[in-house]
Amino acid sequence: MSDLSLLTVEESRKKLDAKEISSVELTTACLDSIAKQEPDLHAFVTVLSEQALSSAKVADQSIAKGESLPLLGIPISIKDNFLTKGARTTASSKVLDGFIPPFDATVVRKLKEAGAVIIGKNNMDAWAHGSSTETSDYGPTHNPWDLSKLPGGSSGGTAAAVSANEVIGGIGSETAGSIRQPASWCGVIGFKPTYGRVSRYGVVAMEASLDSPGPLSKTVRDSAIMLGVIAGHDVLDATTPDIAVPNYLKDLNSNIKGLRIGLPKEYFMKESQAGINDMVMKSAKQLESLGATLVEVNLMDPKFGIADYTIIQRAGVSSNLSRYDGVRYGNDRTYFGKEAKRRVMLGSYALSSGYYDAYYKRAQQVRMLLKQDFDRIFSQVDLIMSPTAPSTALPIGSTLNEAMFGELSDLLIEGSSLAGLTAVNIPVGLLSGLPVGAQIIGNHFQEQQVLNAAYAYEQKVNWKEIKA
Amino acid sequence: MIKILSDKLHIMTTKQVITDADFAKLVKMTKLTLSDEEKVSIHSQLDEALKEVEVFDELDLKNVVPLSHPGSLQNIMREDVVIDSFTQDEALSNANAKHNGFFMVSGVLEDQT
Repeated sequence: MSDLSLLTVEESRKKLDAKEISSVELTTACLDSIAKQEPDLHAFVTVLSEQALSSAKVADQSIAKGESLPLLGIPISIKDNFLTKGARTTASSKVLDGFIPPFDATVVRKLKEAGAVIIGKNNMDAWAHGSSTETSDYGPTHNPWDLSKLPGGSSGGTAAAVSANEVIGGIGSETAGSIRQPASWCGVIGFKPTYGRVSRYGVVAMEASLDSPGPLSKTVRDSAIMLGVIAGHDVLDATTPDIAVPNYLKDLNSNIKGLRIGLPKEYFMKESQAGINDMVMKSAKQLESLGATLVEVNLMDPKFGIADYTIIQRAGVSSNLSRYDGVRYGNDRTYFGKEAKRRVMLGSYALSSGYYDAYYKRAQQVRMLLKQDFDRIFSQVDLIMSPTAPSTALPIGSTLNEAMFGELSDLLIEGSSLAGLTAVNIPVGLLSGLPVGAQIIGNHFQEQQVLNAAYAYEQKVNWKEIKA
Repeated sequence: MIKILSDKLHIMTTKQVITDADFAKLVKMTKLTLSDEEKVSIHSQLDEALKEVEVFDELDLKNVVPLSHPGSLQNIMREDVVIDSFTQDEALSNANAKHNGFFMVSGVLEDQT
């Protein structure tokens, strides 16, 4: 039998339901793949081998009884900032080293209820502060495309694990770029839902008005499946509106005739790595050839998004990390790494008396302008498309002494996150052997439209054959 | 690449934004422990980050309502019903120090004499 770890979620579902394979076989194939590749990749903080095999056995019994659930028996890895009952959760920080949560995050509960086999917890930037996975207190993850390169972040471990077929699918979280950017650098689909579409309950908090859990997957169809499982109203997260969750997979439609796609001039920056803008423009032309209309649009300069995000996010961090006192769980505050210290201090400064109006209040006003800017564009077009990141994967060590690394590599993402929009990263080609990603951004709760455009592209183009 | 981008945004600075006194106050207030090296490097990095915010000066923010949340938040009401919660043992399961079923905390009121 060929290597089962190469399967997608959808292929796994079919083979499991047809009893061509068992969940134990599928899980074992992934654990073998993890054992073989982890010494090089380090995409996991914790591998849950025993628990996974035991869940796989239970799944096989359920399948034998004729049960069918979207993820029944399918090995999924989860970023280590999602609380998993009885399984260590660190958010890649030594502050939480040894923390065993007494409850599951809502996303984890939903994955388990859908039958998923939780195979392990992925490495990430500590507290999700970064875009490299290099700020992890457990050491960096390496990019499967080139081990000397970073995978991006903060969901870098999940992106690397999916890209390297250590797992069938993965779950990450994005505050501004943490799904899209590592997906771009690792050549996978990374789906960022609208803020509020997926519950934040039980996710180690970074910035409460931005954090958005979402899937990383090998195909667009897999993202549609996983999003359908984790999305929806949650009484434990008051920011999740009670809006029905569509059947994203069933409604997936590659017919994009008449779709209007805006290309923001300011996002095709001359400072971006040579070749990226061209490759993304070519992918937009592919969508045009499928019937979409391309429209040049203007958005606020990304520099406003960066500055705004820096203040809003740090303020959230200073508040959210104030709870870590080492009394009820975890270690004390001497365990914080440098990046966390920087962010806590900047946020506290921006929120403090005498500086609040100059920094935090003004940042909230700029956030309003950014949102209004997107509202204006979405009255003209259905979707917005641009490069996801200004470069392909950068070398391990690039974050050293670069306090603004995260913001700079997420330059093209921050605005849409501040506006709470949904978006996807799709791989569109290889530049000097490394994946290039394009992002497709949609208006609030327009996940289906974003998925459809990504699906249309995926159906039409084999991105690995596009090289420059 | 990172250098090209930070040049684009003119965020390199030698100008001090946060005073030494405010910086010391920040360290104390956030209950963080900084090495001597971190005190210097983090201080200048915070100054750089705050320098970025000067781009806000290019925008007319008069009469712009601050946005705290991207959705349309409204008050959420629910029935006040008792739901299952942690047992005392579960709640204490991750505590480093406990005593007679309680969390043990460092002293707050100390003998000042």
